[in-house]
Amino acid sequence: MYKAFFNLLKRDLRLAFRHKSEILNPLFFFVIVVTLFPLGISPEKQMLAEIGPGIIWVAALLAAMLSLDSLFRSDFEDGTLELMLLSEYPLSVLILAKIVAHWLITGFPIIIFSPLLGTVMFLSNDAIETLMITLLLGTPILSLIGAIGMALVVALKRGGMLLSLLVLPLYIPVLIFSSNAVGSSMAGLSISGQLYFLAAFLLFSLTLAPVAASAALRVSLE
Amino acid sequence: MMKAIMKFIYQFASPKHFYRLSGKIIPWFGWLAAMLLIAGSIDGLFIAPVDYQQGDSYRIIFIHVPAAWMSMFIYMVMAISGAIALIWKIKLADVIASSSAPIGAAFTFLALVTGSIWGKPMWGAWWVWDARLTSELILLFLYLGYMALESAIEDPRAAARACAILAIVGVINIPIIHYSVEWWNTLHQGATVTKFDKPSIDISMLIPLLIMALGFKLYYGAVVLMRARNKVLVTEQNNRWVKDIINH
Amino acid sequence: MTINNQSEQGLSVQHLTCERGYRELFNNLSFQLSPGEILHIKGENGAGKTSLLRIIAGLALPVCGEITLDGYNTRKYRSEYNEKLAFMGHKAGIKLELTAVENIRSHCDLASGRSQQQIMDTLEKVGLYGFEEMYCNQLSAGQKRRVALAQIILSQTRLWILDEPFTSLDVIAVDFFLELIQEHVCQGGMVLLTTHQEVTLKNCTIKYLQLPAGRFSSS
Repeated sequence: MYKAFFNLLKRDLRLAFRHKSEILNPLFFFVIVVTLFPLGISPEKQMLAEIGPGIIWVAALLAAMLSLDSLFRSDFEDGTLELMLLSEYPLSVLILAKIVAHWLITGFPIIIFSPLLGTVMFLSNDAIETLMITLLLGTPILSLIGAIGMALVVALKRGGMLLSLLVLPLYIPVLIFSSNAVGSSMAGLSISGQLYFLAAFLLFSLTLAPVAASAALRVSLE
Repeated sequence: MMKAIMKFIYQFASPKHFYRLSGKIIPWFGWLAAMLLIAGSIDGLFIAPVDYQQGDSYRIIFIHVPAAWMSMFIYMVMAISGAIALIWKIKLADVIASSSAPIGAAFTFLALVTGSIWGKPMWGAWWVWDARLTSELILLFLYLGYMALESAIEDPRAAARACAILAIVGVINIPIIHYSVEWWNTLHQGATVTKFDKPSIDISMLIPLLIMALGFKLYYGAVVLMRARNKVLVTEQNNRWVKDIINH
Repeated sequence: MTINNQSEQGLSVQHLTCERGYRELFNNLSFQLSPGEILHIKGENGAGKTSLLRIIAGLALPVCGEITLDGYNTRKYRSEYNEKLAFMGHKAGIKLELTAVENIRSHCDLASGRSQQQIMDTLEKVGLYGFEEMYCNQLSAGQKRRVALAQIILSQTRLWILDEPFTSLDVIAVDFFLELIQEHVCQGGMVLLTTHQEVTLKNCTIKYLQLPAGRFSSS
């Protein structure tokens, strides 16, 4: 079972490296969306520092959501997803492997690049550190919950818009606690409460989301 | 023993039996709901005392609060019947869940609108990012997502099962969302006391509120059964008894 | 729940009913397939051939009915059931960005692993010698099918479920496919397939199942 998990993870990573746009596009999207806000609102330091945490997190949310398509879509189209359903190993384990791969491909680069964006939004060093921690805890949640939504819409021709309707409301707690943690650390307040919440939510979705996503996939592929 | 119970449930939930039984129940629910709603409105609008802070404008809670309760209650019903349908493969549960969704969305919308009307004299604005209103708005999004998913999947059985999974995921998330919104709200608007939070309510105000809540519940019962009856006719269209009904 | 004893070998389908939308495709369908037999499912377009295969594979849910393979129920013993089953659907089930070997490797990891040597031998057997390290998007449609077939052979399962396996294959390739199917059946395997072509095989039992013509519900 561990072998099946790691081999599938390896396969997805290999596929992503052959299709580099899969890694780069969400990252570009993330950077571009954040860049739009100073242009649309104001380049003033005070203003940007205040709205920065929220903006960076909203952009991360949208990037994560738009990248969900790569989670199951291509496997669905070429039939390999069907074969995964017919595997002798538990589907939820295989799906967890795919989710981990997806997070490494799309979530991880965002974390690496976030200090840069934090700097252009004039966040303090503490806040940037918190931003990275919240992204580290929060983006896996986005991939996990997103997998459920993606599993529900994978067989639909125009599922993109629907996916956002299904998934974004469920992303709200992550947004609230993460951006607030960054804001609080800007103001020099304690952030342990928010981080505990994020960690708890991460563990919670880690246990339940793969199961829900595999049930959803079995329905979708019928 | 378990088998006998399950057999009874399956028989009870058989579409034909349901169709007949619900036909008898609907008028009772409908009339009772009408009576309770009229009584509750009269009591709430004219008999209940005036609030010493909010004057007469508080009286909208007799609609707003039951509607908000219903919006939560119906989502629970959808999730529970979705789970029943997934586990025991009782088709009727799917029908109840999908018939409930638009009604629940309507109650959510009603709660939002009345909340906003109530807020106007209180806060001087049609919309305030109050914790309850925001939670209600997110709940409306969940309902809309549910209905959008249902209409997007062509095969009705697959749609029902997909929606059941979504409703269960949603219902697990609602407390988390609610908690986080509440937390967010106290953080940003800690100073202004929200008017929706009444520490205690006078008994003379509570009675019409409960009457209205019961009326709303019965109204939901009647409407959901009516919708479910129609759906049963569609899903069972190939069966003999449905053809008999239609030909008569 | 008792697992039926070992004597009950083979695939057993009982009282299967399938609907698409609100239209009934077939109802109360029962048949039995023993090791060493082929079942050729026939029927018009829309009769439910693919639906039947997907139900037997455990991908789709029947309205009612029971399917067991060597006594294991599809849904209750999914892992045991899947272990004995290989499926080739309309989609080939191979990734175009991977080479033939990588594809087979990742597929075999979903089942029990196979050695590199076995993979190479099988690829040679299906006529892909020299194409092992080529990306599958450089292969022709027929060659992709051959990769999929190699996956099925390497899965070493007893029951092959093949949905239109001969599409985009030339006559020689079809004959070659049939030979492999025959070999599998002679070793005690079972094959369920749909195809519009006549299947002629020496020294093995071919059963036929004719699905009723597509009926439309009167509204």
